[in-house]
Amino acid sequence: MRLPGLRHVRAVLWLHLVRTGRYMTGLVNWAVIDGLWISIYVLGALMFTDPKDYPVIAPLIFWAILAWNLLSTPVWVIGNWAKFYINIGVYEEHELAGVSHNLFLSIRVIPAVMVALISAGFVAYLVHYVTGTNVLVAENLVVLVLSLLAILVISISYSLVLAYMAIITQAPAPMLDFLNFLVFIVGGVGVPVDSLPPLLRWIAAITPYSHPAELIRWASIGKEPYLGVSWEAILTLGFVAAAMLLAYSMSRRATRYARKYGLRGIGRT
Amino acid sequence: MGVAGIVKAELYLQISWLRSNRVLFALQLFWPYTAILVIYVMGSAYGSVENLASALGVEDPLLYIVAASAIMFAASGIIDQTASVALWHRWLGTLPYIYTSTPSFTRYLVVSGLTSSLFQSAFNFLALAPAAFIIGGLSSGLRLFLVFAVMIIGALPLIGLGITAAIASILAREEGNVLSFLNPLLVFLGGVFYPIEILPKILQEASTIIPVRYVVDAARLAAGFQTPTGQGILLILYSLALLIVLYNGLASLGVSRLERATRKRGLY
Repeated sequence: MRLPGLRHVRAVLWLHLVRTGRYMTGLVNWAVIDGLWISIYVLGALMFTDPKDYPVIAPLIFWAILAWNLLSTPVWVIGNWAKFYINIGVYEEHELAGVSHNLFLSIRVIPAVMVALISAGFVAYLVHYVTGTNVLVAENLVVLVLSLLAILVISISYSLVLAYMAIITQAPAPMLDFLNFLVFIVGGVGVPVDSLPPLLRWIAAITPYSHPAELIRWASIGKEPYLGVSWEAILTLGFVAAAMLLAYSMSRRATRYARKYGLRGIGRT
Repeated sequence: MGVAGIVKAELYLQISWLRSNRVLFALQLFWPYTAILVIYVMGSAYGSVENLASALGVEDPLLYIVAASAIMFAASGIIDQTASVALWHRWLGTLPYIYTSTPSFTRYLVVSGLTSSLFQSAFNFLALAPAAFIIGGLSSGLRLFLVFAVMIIGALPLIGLGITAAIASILAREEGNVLSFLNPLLVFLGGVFYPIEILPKILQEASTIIPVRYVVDAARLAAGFQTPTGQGILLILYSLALLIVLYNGLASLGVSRLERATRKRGLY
């Protein structure tokens, strides 16, 4: 495995930062959009809740939403953006210059995280306004941050897999959001695994995001994880490693395919 | 090309698009259900349907969620369909050709946007019809149809907003639609899944110029979720009429501004 040189890292980082600055209006617009959509669902879900339960439920919902934001935004910012990478001819430029596609696509995590954090701030304010509860609570800040990071790493890896799928197939963009929603509902991210029906608990158990999400709930308000803290931590690390390996293997396969047959992911998706 | 020609071409495009991309077709059928599922599963895990009925003041909360989801997808689709078509042509490089050819650009935006919006709205409502029938039989299906009829009236001011968004994006020379935040903003301030009263005061005030709010109110009345009063119906109709004039007037001004700007610097 050839690691990207420092010169490449600097160049790609510079490119993405310039681009982020150039399209700052678009980035803020994206964050506002995310914040508003999430708020619609969060406020809708809060209407089911008895107001006396807000002190416990509001933080649970907020952290679940932040986790989902971190897992879904890179999918769009990296995974779906691959169609631009391919359509405008930048893929070939980087291929000829010997720059790693993984490096180029992964660094788009900068705008992704910016979008996720801005929108989460908006949601936190709104939930606080509606419920009168401080949602930014953490019983174990270190585990909370590490679990959020684990979700981010799995999400980047998954986004890279999708980006490379766009090279050899033509994955329709709405599928990305559809799968994100499914993960949120049945994947143990939006709601604790133990509150899901028995069949869905099995599905949640094999969903990589459910384990860091359970740790987040434990680290924020002390809710005991479904499989216990140790098992959830081991499974989280396992899924992080597996996701990174899968992304790397997919990148090699897609690059070989593109060199032999050319790019396929072109057109309106 | 006349209005009928644009309608025909747009419908052909929409149908061809769905026919050539089966995965997209299936996803669009199931997509509205994911919204319902998210709200329902998350809400039920943290509370109960009875609390929702009490918070929203509706008799049948499940049917209301179905109707509200249909409104949400239709409203956001209208802005998206109108504004995104101009951006798509810019990305493809065909915008200058569309702009300089007959029919006029405004007519193209209005007719094409209206056709695709209504097509998508009808698609969303049809996709959700089985859920309404399962929840409450024929009467629920008819209620959903009434909500769709109200949505068509509500689409008229939204088209004006969509055209304004398209023009703003072209003038701003941004990669994406800089006014695409209008989509969720309309749904957010429309109080589709929650009462407007829970929002901060300033947002409650802002919601008075949001067409979706009146569509939601009218949908609740039309669908029998609340007892209709003559005054309530008139207030909704007057408000929607006012907003039709306001937003379509704004769009006309925007088109004039776009024409002046493109004569000066070209269109790209």
